[in-house]
Amino acid sequence: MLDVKLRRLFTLLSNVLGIGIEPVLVNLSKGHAVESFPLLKEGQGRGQGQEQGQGTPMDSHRRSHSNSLLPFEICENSKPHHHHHHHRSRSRFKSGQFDDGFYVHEANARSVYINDPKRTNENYEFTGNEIRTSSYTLLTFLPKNLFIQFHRVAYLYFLAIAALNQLPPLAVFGRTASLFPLLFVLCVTAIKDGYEDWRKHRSDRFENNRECLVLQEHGNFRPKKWKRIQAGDVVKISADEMIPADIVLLGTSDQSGIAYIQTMNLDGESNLKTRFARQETVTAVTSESCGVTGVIRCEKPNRNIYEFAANMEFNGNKIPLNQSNIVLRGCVLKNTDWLIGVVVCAGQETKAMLNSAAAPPKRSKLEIYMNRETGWLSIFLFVMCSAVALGTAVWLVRHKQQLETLPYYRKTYLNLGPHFGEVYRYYGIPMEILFSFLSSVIVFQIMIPISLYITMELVRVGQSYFMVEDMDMHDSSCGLRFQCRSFNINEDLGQIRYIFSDKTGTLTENKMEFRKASVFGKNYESSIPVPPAVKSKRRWKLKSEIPIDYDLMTLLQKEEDPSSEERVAAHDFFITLTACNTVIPVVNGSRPSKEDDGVVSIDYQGESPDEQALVSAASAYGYTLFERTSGHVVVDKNGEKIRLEVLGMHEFDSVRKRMSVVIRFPDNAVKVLVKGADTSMLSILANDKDSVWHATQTHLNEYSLEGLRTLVLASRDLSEEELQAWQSAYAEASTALYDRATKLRHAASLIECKLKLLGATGIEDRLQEGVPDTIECLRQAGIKVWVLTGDKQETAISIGVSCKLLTPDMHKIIINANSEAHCRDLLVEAKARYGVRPSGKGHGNGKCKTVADLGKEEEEDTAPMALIIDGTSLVYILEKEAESELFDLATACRVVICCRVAPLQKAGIVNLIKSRTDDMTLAIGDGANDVSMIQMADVGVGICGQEGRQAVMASDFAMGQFRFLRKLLLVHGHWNYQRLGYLVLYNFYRNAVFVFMLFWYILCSAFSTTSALTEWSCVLYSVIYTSIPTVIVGVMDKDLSQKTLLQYPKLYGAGHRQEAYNIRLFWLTMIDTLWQSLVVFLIPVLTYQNSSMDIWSLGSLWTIAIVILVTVHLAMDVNGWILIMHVAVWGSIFITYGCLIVLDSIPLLPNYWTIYHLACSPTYWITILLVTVVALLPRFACKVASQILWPSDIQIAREVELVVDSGNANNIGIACLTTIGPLIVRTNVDVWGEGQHAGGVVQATRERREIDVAACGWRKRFDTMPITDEVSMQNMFQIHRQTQMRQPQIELYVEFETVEAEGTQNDLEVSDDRNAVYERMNSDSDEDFEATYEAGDEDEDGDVGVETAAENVVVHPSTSQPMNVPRFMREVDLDTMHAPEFPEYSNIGIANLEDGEFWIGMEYSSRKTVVAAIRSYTIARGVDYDVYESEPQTFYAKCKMYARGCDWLIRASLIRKKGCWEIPRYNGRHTCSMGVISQDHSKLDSDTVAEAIRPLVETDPSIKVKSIIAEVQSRFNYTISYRKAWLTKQKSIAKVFGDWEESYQALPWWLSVIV
Amino acid sequence: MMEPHSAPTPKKYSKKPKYSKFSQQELPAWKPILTPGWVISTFTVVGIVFIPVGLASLFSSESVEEAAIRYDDKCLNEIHAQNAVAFIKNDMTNKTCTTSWTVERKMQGPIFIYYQLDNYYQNHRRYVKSRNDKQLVNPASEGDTTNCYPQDKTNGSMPIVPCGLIAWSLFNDTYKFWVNTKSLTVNKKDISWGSDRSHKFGSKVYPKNFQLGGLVGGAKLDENIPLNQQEDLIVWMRTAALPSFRKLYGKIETNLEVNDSVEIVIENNYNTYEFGGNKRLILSTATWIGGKNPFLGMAYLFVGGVSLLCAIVFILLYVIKPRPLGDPSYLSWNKNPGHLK
Repeated sequence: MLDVKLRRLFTLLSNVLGIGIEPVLVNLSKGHAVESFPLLKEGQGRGQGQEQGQGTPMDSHRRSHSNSLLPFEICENSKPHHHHHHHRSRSRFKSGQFDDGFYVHEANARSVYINDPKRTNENYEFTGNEIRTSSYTLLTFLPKNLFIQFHRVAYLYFLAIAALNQLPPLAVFGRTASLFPLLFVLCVTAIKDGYEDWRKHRSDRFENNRECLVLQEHGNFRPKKWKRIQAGDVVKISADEMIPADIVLLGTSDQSGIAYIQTMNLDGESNLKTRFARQETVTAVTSESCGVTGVIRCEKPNRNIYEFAANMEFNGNKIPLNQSNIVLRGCVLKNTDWLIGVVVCAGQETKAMLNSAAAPPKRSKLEIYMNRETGWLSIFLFVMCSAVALGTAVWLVRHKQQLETLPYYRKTYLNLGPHFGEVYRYYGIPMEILFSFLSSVIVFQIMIPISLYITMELVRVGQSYFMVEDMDMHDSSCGLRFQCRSFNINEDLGQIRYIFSDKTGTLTENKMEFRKASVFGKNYESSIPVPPAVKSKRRWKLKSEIPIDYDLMTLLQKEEDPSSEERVAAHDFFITLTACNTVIPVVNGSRPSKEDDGVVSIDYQGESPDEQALVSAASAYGYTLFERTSGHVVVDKNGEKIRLEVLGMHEFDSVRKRMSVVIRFPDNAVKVLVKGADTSMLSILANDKDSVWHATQTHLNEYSLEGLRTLVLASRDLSEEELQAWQSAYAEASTALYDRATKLRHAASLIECKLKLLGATGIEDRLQEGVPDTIECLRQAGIKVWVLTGDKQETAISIGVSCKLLTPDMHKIIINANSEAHCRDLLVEAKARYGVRPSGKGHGNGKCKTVADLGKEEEEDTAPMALIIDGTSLVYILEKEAESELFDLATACRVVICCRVAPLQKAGIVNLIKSRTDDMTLAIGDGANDVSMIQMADVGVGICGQEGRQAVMASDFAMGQFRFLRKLLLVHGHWNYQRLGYLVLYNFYRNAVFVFMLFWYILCSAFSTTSALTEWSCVLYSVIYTSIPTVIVGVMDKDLSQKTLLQYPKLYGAGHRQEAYNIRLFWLTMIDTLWQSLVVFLIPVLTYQNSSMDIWSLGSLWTIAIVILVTVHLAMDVNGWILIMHVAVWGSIFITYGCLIVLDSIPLLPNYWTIYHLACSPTYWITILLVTVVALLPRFACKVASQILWPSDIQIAREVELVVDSGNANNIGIACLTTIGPLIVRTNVDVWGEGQHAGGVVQATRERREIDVAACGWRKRFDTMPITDEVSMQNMFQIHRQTQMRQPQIELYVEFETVEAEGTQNDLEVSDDRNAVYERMNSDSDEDFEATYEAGDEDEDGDVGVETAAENVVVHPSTSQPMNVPRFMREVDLDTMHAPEFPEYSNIGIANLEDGEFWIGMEYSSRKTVVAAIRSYTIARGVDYDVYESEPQTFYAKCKMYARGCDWLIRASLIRKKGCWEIPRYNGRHTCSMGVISQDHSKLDSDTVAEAIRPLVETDPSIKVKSIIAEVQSRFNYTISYRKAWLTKQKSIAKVFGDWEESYQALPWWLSVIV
Repeated sequence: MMEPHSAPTPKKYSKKPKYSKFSQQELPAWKPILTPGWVISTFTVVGIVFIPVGLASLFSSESVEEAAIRYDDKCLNEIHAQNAVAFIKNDMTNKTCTTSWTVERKMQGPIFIYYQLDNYYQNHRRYVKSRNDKQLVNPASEGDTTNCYPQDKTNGSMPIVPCGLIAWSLFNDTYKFWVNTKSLTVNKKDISWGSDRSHKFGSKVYPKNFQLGGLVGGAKLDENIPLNQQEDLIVWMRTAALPSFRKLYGKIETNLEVNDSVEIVIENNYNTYEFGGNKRLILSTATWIGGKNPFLGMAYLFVGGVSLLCAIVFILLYVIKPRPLGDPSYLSWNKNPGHLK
C-alpha cells in the first residue's frame, strides 16, 4: 500500500516537474525484472533464444555457440527519453534490440482487463498514453541543459579555467573576457537544444492531443485525446488513421477479422501487412459496440517489434495471441474500414517508443589519436606552467628582500593608515608558486585546443553536407539521397581496410525474379516469351509480366491423364507456391469474389520479395492466389476456384529454415505443404532417393552455380491420427505464453517429416549496377572486401565470381567442417600449404606490423587466395582459439566469403578483425540481419533497399546502391580524412604557437604571467581571428580532384598509411611550432629592444604578426584555392585588424589608439613581413625538399593533374570512361560509321584480328602494336597489367573488312540465349536491308520492309542488350575528345553566320563547334574541303580546289588564354564552285546528320527513314542516300538511348568475344 | 477504395540534390603546385625584395646619431657608492651631478632625449594592472581606486589621484643641458601620445593626495596642472613592454655640431639602486626606421641572402635529382621509379 502511494507521488512529481524521475520509478517497480544479460543471443530473437533449454538435436551445435560471442550488455530497462548530449550515460543497445522476453516468467505477465481501464490500472503497472520525447520543460531547461552540456569534458575544462580566473590572486584576464568563450558556446548550444526541444514539444503536444474513439462507460464510442487513453481501453480506429497505442485486435470491419496495416513508421516497409483478430472475438464486436470482456495476460513491454506473446481469457477459453494479433502504435490502418481493439501497452511502453533509441555513438580513429596527442599537449602545458612556477620561485627568493619596496612589486602597504604594514596580495612563496602555476594555466589554456572540438563538429557538418548533396550518390531509381546519420566518423571513411558486405540487397538488387523451376525432376526455364495463346487465357494481371515455360504450361494444362504422378506433383508444386506463404493479394480495390469477368489486376503484398516472386510466378502459370484470411486461402486455378482451409501455419524461422502450412482441400484431404532451404528440406524427405531426388539435386546445384536462390518444395498427405496429434500439439503451443517458439517448432517437427519431394525453384537476384567495377576499384585501393551472406555456399561462390571477387586464377580454400577438430585441421593445413606466416600475437605491437606485412604480401602477388568458409565452421572457429588461425589465413587471403552465417556471426567476424588489427572496418548491408554487423563495424553503411529500414536506422551512413561506396570511400573518404587530419594538426599548431609566444614573453616579465596581448585578443584569437579559415579549409580544400581519385584508386592508400595524421607529423609540427613561436616573439623584441615601445603596442604587433603568420601558414598548405577560401583566409586578417581597431578605439582600455600609432611607422610593417617570412622559411624549404626527394603519391597525382589541366597531354581521355575501368576498347569512328553492316563487327575481328593497340602514355606518347593473333593479344594484356598505372587505358582501333556473315555466325559463343535471338534478328535484318537496298528501288514496299527491320535491330536491343553497339564506339573522334571544351562559350559561334562567312578572330567554344561550323558552311555553299591539319589544338582546312582557282582556307586554333577557339587565319570566300555535289555531300556524313535529326529521333524513335531524308533535304538542301539516312537514324538512336554505363556493361562481353 | 502503394520514401531524403558547382565541389580552383619554377622564383623574389629593404633600413639605422650616457654610477661619489640606497632615499643629500659629453658627429634636430631604465619590470603583472583608467579621465570618479592597491588611498582614506603603483613610481630624474655654456631648451611638449592626452587623461582631473604616503615612490605632481598636461606622467603611464626600456624625456629642437661640448646637469633622484637597475640618458636623432637599431637591416640582409642561397640549392637539386613533373612512375605502387618509358 505504501508502495502504491509512493509511486503515485512519484508519478505526480514527474508529471509536474517533467524531469527524469521516471527511470527511478521504473527501477522501483520492476525490481527483479531488470536483469542484465551478458551473453548474446543469436538469431535476432526470432525465437532462437528459447532453444537454451530444449533445443532439437539439429540445433545442438548452434546452442553451444550461442554463448560464444561478445559480451554485449543488454539493457532491458531502456530509458524512454534519452538525450543527445548524454553520450556517456546512454545505454548501448547492441543486439539486444530484439530480445524477446523469454526469461520473464509467466508470473510476471501483466493483466489487461478488456474495457476496464480502472481495474487494469489499479496497480500502476501501466503508463498512460502520453508521450514525451522532449527532454526539458520550461522549468527544468536551464539546469538540466547546463547539466547535460557540462558532461563534455571540454566544457568542464572551460569552466574550471573560468572559475580559476575569478580567484583574486589569479585574475589574469578580466572576468568578462575569461567567461566569454564558455558563455558563447553554452549559449549557442543551449539555443540549439532549446529550439530542438521546442519542436519536440510541439510534435508531442500534437501527438498527445490527437483524438481517437474510445469505448466509454455508456457503451458507445466517444472521442478521447490520445494522452487520456489507458491500458485496458477499447478503441476504434477508422481507415487511414494512426494507431494510438499497442492494441490487441478484437474485431475489424472484415468478417474474418483481417486488418491491413502499414508499418512504415516502424520499420520503413511500405507494403501492407495483415493482422488478424481472433475468430472468437470477431463475432462479439460490431462497429458500434464491443461485447468482449476478459483478461489479456501479456508479456512485459519490450522492444521487439516482431514478437508478441500473450493470451486472452474470453468466455472461459484461453486464446493465444501472438504478433499477428497486435497492432503497434505508429502504424496506419489501411484498406480496412475500422478496427476495434484493446490497448495493452500505452505511451512510453509501446514498442515504437521503446525502439526510438539512437544508435550508439562511435568515435573516429583520428579522434582517438587526436586525444593521445592532446595528452602530449597537456604535458607541454604542465611543463610550461611548471617552468613559470619555478621561475617565480627563483625570482621571489632572489628578490625576497626588495619585495616590499620594489616599485613594480610592493608587497606591503606603506601608507599610514588602517592597512599600514599589511601584506598586499602576497601569500608567501609556496602559495605564490602555486598561484603562479595556476595563473599560467589560465594564460596558456588554449594549449588544449578546446575550440578544436567545436571546429571539428562544424567541419564534419560541412563535409556531411557535401556528401549528402553529391549527385553521384543519389539513387535516381528510388529517389534516395545519401544520408549521414552519424556526424562523428566522416574521416574514418578515408581509412577503411576491410569491407564486410552483405550479399542480398547489397551486392544484388533484391528484386526477385522467378527464373527456373525443377518440377518432379524436370527442369523448366521461364525464358521463352509467352505464346499469345497462353496469354489470352489469363484473367489476372500482375504488376509485372513473368515469362513462363511453355512446356510446363502444357504439362499443367494437359487434359488427359490428370492423375499421372508428374501431373499431380506439378499441381501440388503450384499449390504449395500459392498457399505456403504469407503473401496478401490486393485485388484491384474491391473484393475479389465479385470480379468474375474481365482482367483484374492483382498486387501481391508480402514481407519477403522471394515469396512475392513465387506467388506471382504461380499466377503466371494459372494458379492465382486471390484471397487469404487466417482461416483459408482461395486459389484461382485457371478459372476454377479452390478454397483451401488453412488448419495451421508454421512460419519461416531461421532455425528450421522452412515454412509449412497444413491445408484441408475441398475433398477433405489434408496435406502439409512445405517449402524451405535445401539443406533443411533434404533431410526431412521420405527416404527413397529416387530419380526425382537425384535430378532435383542436380538442378539445385546448377541453379546455385548460376547464382539463383533455391527453395525446395515438398508435401505430404496427413493421416487423421497424425493430424490430430499435430493439432493438439499446435493448439497447445500456440496458446503458450512463453517458450512458444520452441513448442511450435516441436509441433512442426511432427508433420515436417517423410515428405514427398515436389521440386525446386530458382529465383534470380540480379547483381546491382556497377558492383563488379566497384569491387575491383576498392580492391585496387587496397581494401579487402569480404562477403558475409546467409546464402549457401554455391550461391555465394557464384555471386563472388559474377561480381569479380573471385577470379579463375585464385586458389580457393574452402573450409567446410562439421567438428571443431576438423575445422582446425583444415585451417592449419591450408596455412601450411599456402605458406601463411602466423602474424604477431594479435594484440599490442603486433597490430601495426600486421598491416605493413599485409601490404607487402599483397604486393608480392604470387597466387591470390580466396577463403570460403561456412557458418557451421565459423561456429567452431569463433568460439575457440582457432580464431587466430582463421585470422591469419583470412588476412592472407585476398577474398573471404562467408556463407550461411547468422546475423550475429556477421558481427563476430567483424569483431574478429576489429579486435586483432588496428584496421578500420566497414560493414554494409540492407536488412535487419545486418544490423548487428553494421553496429559492430567502425563504420556502418546501410543500403535503403527492399528490406525495410532497419539497417538504415542502425547505420552511420545510408545510401541507395552499393556502387556509391566507390565514391564515398575513394573520394569523400579521402577528402574527409585529408581535411580533418590537416585540420587537427593545424589547430594544434595554431594554438600552440600562440601559447609558446605568450610563454616566451612571460619569461621576460619576471614570471608574472603578464600577457602583452590584451585579454580580448587572447580570447578572440582562437574564436574569431583564426577560426573561420580553418573551418572553410577543413570543409572545402581538395587535395586531388575526384577524377584523379577515382582514376588511381591506390591513392586511397594514403589513408591506410595514415599520411594525413600521425605521431611523426605531430612532432614535426611541434618543432615547427616552436621555431615559429620563437621567431614571432624574438623578432619584434629585437627590433624594439631599445625603444620606447610600450607593452600594448608590442602586444598589438604580436597579435597581428601571429594572426598573419598562422593564416599564411594555412594558405601555404591550401591545395585548391576557390574564391570562398580567398575570402576566408585573407578576410580573417582584415577581421583581425577590424577587431583591433574597434578594441583600440575604446578609451577605457589600456591599449587605446595603439594600432593607429603603429600603423604610421614603417618599422611595424617590415617587422611583420620579416616575422612571416622567417617563420615560414624553414617550413617552406622542408616542404619543397621533401617534395623533390620523397614525393608522396598525392603530390605526384597533383602534378599529374596540373600537367593534364594544362592541356598538352591527352592521356586522360573521356572522364567517365576512365573512371569506369582500366581498359577501354574503342573503334575508329570513320571505320564504323561508313563501314560494313552492324552485325559484322564481331565476326570481322574474329576473322582478321587487325587490331592496333595504342597504349597511350603521358604527354601523347603513343605506342601502338598490331594485334594479329592470340599471342599478341596476350602480350597486350601482359603489358597492360604491368603498366596499368602509367597507362590507364588501352585503345583498340579496329579495322574492318568485308566478311561473309553467314559462315562465321555459328562461331559465336554467346552464353545468353536471348542474345542469340537478337543477334539472329540483327543479322537477318541486315540481310534484308542489303537486299532491299541493293534492289535500288525505294518504293513504298521497300521502305516498309526496311522500316520493320530497322525497328527490330535498333529499338529492341538498345535498351539492354550487350549486342547493341555502345555509343562511344560510334561517335569517337579522337581529336575532339582530347580538345578541351569551354562550355561557357557555347553560345557563340553558332548565330554569327548571318552572311555565312567566317572572319578572323571569330571565337568558338570548342573544337567541335568550329568543325561543325566549317562543315555546315561548306555544305551550305556546295563546296568541299580537305583537312590539312587536325590536331587537338588546331584545325586547318583548304578548299578541295585550292590552288586550282580557289584560295579558300581556314585555320582555327585553341587560344588557351581565353579558353576558346579562334580563327586566326581565313582566306575569304570560295572563288570556286564545285557544282557537282547534288546527291550527297562528303562532309554531310552520318554524324552531322545524326546530330541534326536527333530531336526528331528523341521524340519518335520509330521515325521513318523517308522522313529523315526529307528533313535533311529541308535543312541542308541535299538528298542523302537512303543508306546514309538509315545509318544516321541508328546513330542518333544510339546517341539518344545509349549510355556509358550500359556500354561498359558490354565490355566484358566484347573482350570475351575478342579473346 | 484502395490507395496505390507506390513506395513512399521519406520526403526529407528523396529530393534529388540540385546541381551546383558548389555542392558538387567542382568550383574552379587554383591549384598551386610547388613546381621548380615556382620554388626558385619564390626564393629569388624573397631575396630580391629583402636585400634592398635590408640595405635601406641598415643605412637609415646607421645614419641615426645616438649617445648613451650611463649616469647611475657616475652620479654616485665614492662616499655614497657603498650605500647608494641610503643616499638616494635621503631627501637631504644633494643629488645633482654634472657630466659632460662631446658631440662626435653632427646631430640634426630634433634630438630626442630619452632616459633608459634597465632591469625595471614595468611589465610585471602587479604593476601593469595597478592603475585606474576611469579615475584618470573622469573627475567624477576620482574616488574609484579599484586595482590601485596599495597606492589607492592616503591614511585619511582620501583617494589618491592618480592612484596606483605606476603613477606612484613616476620617474623623477631631471636633465639640463648646456652647450658651450649656453643653456639648451628642452621641449617637453608633445612627448606623449596625443590620443592619451585627449582621451585617457582628463583635462579636469587634477592630482590629489599624490605622493603623500609613507613612502615616496617618485616625482610629485603639480596639483594645479590637469593630468592631461602632465606629459611626463602620461609617458610613464604607458608602461614599457620589456624590462629594459626607454622613455621620452623631451626634445632638443636645435642641431648639435661636431665637437660641441655638452654639459649635462642631472638631478639623480630616482631610486634604481635598490634593485640594481641602470639609468641611462640617451640623445638620439630619428629617421623613418626609428632609433638606432641595426637588427632589422641585418636580419633582412641575412634572410635575403639565405633565400637566394636556397634558390641556388634548389636549382642544383633539380639539376642533380631531376624528377619530371607529374611522372606517375614515381607513384609508390610503381616499383621502378624513373624507368618506365
